[in-house]
Amino acid sequence: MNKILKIVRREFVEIVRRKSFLIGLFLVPVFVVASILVPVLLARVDVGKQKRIAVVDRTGILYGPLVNRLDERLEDGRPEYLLQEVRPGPDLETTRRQLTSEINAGKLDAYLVVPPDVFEKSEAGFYGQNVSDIRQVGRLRSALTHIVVAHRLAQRGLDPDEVSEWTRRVQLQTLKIVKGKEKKSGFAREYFTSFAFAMLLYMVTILYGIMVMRGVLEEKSTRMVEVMLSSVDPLQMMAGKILGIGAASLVQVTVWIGVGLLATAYGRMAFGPNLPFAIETDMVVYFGIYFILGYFLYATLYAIIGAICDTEQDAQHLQILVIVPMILSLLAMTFITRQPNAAPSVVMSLIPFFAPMIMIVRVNVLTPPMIEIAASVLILIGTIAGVMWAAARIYRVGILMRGKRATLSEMVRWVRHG
Amino acid sequence: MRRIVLRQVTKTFDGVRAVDGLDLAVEAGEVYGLLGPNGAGKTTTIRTVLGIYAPDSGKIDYDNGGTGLSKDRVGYLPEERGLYPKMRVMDLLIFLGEIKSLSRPEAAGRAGEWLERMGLSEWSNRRVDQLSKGMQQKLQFIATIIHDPDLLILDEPFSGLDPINVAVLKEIMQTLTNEGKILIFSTHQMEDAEALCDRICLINRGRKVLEGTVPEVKSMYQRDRLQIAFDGSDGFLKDTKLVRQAEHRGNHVEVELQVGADPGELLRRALSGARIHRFEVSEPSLRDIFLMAVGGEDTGENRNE
Repeated sequence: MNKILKIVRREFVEIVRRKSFLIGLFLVPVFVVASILVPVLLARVDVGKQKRIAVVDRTGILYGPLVNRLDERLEDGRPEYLLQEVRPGPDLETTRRQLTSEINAGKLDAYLVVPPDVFEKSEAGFYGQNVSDIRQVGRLRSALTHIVVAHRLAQRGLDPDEVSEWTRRVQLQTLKIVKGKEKKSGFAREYFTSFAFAMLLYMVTILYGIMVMRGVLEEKSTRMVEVMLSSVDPLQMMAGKILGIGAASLVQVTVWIGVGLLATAYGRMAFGPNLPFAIETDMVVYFGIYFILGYFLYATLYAIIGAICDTEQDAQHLQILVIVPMILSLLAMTFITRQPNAAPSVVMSLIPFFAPMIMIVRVNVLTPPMIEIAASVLILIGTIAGVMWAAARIYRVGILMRGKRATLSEMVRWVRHG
Repeated sequence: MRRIVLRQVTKTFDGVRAVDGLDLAVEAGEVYGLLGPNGAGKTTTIRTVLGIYAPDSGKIDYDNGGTGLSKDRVGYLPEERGLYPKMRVMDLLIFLGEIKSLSRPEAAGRAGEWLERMGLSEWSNRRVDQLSKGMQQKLQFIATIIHDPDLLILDEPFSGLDPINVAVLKEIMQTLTNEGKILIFSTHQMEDAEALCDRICLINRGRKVLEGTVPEVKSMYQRDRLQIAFDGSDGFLKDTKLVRQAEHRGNHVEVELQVGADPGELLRRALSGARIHRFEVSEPSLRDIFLMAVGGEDTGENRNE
């Protein structure tokens, strides 16, 4: 046992000292946080600018109400929209050319042309260098729509305020029940959070699984195996490697999730309880359980691949077999998020090679019955025990073999005869 | 540990007997040479002694009160070097000491001493892959003996070393033997084996071909080669009862005697007709014996162990 710990420490230190590990540890969260924060901050910067819009109102009655409706103010109290009315000349084209040249000269941001038949045809034109600012375009559209609709209603003798009161939409809130408590949620948010957890599990498991595989291959190719085997037995070697590299992966995941928890806490303080993405502490516990179990299962498979292969190329081909179940899990995610308790979802979450990722998604969307969680955990543990037992037997022979890849029948023989 | 005894040890891979009913006895305090062509079963024998392989049949007795083999008491220098290339020299030695159950400070202390003794002190913070082949070889040797093992198995320890370092290693090997360690030395270099080994065992195709002290082994082979320098009649060379073959080589004649012929008889004959300057019964070298013992046979060179 003591020797395993020495190996664990060596493997752990070896990885943690790498530059790539430190970069991943700190830069990835910085990058993720930045990619969320920067657009938000940029949007705020944008808010600080006033928009100068010329209005060519050919109805003659729309400009006043429009100025009244577009009364937003910037954070510093200045009005957001600076409208100026342009009297349409005898020739609309001349007016437009003139306004366009003003935009090109930077004296104007955009202009709006409201035709005389806007109340019948509901069409108007907006011209500007940037017409993709959805917020601004949307704001103008809704202001115009409101004025035009109010005008039509008034012509028919209806009170626009009353009509809008009568036709108010129903707000359907989506509420998620978690252990009897309600919380606001929705598909997009569920999907996003589930996806983040599943991706994290997928990436880290594969990343560190490959490190296990490479480590075994390195020991074979540098002939370190023989030196090691004169001191420890193969099972100690394998266990030490899997545990040591696993410890490094756990540090990585802990730091990343820690950043996520901090970001969630900060986000709630700054933007209120309904964030598009949030990490709940109970999810962290489930993630921990399924991540650790999934890692052991897959790392052991990777260790086998390392032991039976002679070159990294060989191993690269074989490891596709290991990745396939993970990719299938990823592909199933949309379905699982929509129907977490449908039969296929339940069955998949009980198959050990899918269980880690599928269960994470199910737990996140709709906590499944405890019995199913317990069953998936037990099945996983049983499978891990079986795979490790077989791995120990394959490893023992495989690591001393050189020059060729073990065939399936050889592996079966090793497992059967120990 | 005072002795290792292998009794009828057999190990089979895919139907091929890599080691086939091998009996060996290695005593503490002597250098035991394990010799044989490639694929003879040396590595398999060594791995079996180390407990890396379990023998299919037969027994290994470590003569240490029946506790079996403790890997902590063994030092193994494999033929192909095994070091973690990315680790620092000092860290690697400490790690390898620790998995032999040395404490961390103990391992660090001994590593420092040995690096000093081997002239590698200034390299202790370098990465292993920055060292030259020769330096790595010395490092591997330190790793083998850092925990002061009772049983040392050195497989081609001198490969890649310059003569000065070979001399240093040989001296250390001699010292360790004098301290009462069991030392098994495997090599293809018959000159090294002849110079270092107290006892040798030659194996081929998994079986023991011959075993004994170096003089014993040599005496098993007939001293049937003579070198004679003389003036006068060479009539004595024509006696086919004594001489099988004679070959003139410049200033002397190489003579191969008939089986069972007495060199003394030939000398008496020679003296009757010629003046003898030199009359030498040459000893076969281990190299000659090696070639004689395995040369004619299929050496199993291509066998996959």
